[in-house]
Amino acid sequence: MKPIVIIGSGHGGLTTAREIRQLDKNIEIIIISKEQVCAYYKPNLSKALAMKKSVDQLVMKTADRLENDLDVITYSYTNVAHIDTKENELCVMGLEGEQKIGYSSLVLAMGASPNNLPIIGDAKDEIVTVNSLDDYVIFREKIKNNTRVLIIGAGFVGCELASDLVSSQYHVDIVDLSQWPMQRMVPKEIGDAIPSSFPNGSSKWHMNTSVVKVSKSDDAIDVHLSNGKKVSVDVVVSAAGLSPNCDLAFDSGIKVCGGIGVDEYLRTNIENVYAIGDCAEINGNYLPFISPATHSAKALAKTILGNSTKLQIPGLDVAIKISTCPIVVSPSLKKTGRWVTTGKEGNFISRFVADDGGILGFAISGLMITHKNTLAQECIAANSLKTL
Amino acid sequence: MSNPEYKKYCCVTCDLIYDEEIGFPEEGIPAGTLFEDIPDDWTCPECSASKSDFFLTN
Repeated sequence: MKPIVIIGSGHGGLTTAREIRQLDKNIEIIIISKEQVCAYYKPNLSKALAMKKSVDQLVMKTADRLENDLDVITYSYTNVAHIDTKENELCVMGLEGEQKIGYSSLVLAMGASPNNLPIIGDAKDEIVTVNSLDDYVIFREKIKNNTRVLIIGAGFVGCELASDLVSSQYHVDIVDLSQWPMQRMVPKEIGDAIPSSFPNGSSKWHMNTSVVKVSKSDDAIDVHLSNGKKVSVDVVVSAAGLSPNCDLAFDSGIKVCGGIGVDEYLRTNIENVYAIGDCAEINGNYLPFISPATHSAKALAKTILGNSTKLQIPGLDVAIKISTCPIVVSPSLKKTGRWVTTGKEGNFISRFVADDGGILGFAISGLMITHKNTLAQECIAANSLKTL
Repeated sequence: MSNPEYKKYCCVTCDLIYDEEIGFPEEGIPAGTLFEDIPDDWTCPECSASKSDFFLTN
């Protein structure tokens, strides 16, 4: 029998491999990655300074350990050029040149890549991201002897990163087009509580504006904003959203919507080809979070081994690790609704309510995060996920 | 009173530590709860890994 092949060694890919191995000790599993295969937990990249972790300490298992512990074969620094869905075969280009790898089942766990921003200037290539361990190595090297960091994007990764840097005595500037931090996930009260919670003088939040140009000056980077202001910093990092990696799937005739389109069994339109995690769109829902990926891996392992299992997600809540203002969000799958908020001084409970009064999602902050489980029970959006 | 028998368990996926002495009170698991007494269908509060994905650590 041909092996099960997993493209991608992030959370979705490795968890799928682990779940399959728990159920079947013998079946051959191959993991292919364009990066160095190793087990690390991506959400920890935006908290690593506060966790006092070096880059090496973020790696929980090397490729050798994974091969040994999970009895899998790994291919690092290997690109998949094409998927032949008729012959069930991949054409890959790796360290040992081009080769073909057949599969019985194929799992696309290709993740998402940082959005390209329309920024000009001679320091454009100096902008770093923190979406992979390789990126993060560069980021840590750049901040080694510097103190002023500008973050593009005040979404949850941008806010976590800002918190992490400030906790290690950096000064941060945060730039975002939205009106308040994490605007797509939390109401204004909670968004505004984030900057207020930071130590005095540690951060400057530039909302309603964007970065248009970055240019090198003597020993700094000058960042020009669309509101006409200029900020001089040492390091610029982009945390401005991600787009699912779908090109390979699309080029190989697999249906792509916002992400790689799958049903509640994680099946694409092509037999024996599945997608999971940040590259997948499940019945029209894009859920780029850890918990749905973990639950997807558990269901998918069973399905691939012949016991078709629907994905069920008990809840969608995501903890945002901002040390001075912890937040838990359960994002709404529908955009139409309004926030109803109670609380004060950084401690808020906010429900995202539909026209018919149903609670679609919630956001809670500060001391109120202990009410997470109660709110999750009220939330029909999370409940509806149980039958995606 | 500190019980020297309390152990720590680490999540294989996300590195989260379950310390029996501290528990996860915000998740409904009181301090002092032994790992073996946590329900089998409990999942990691950080990454949703299964209870069986935790290993004993120092």
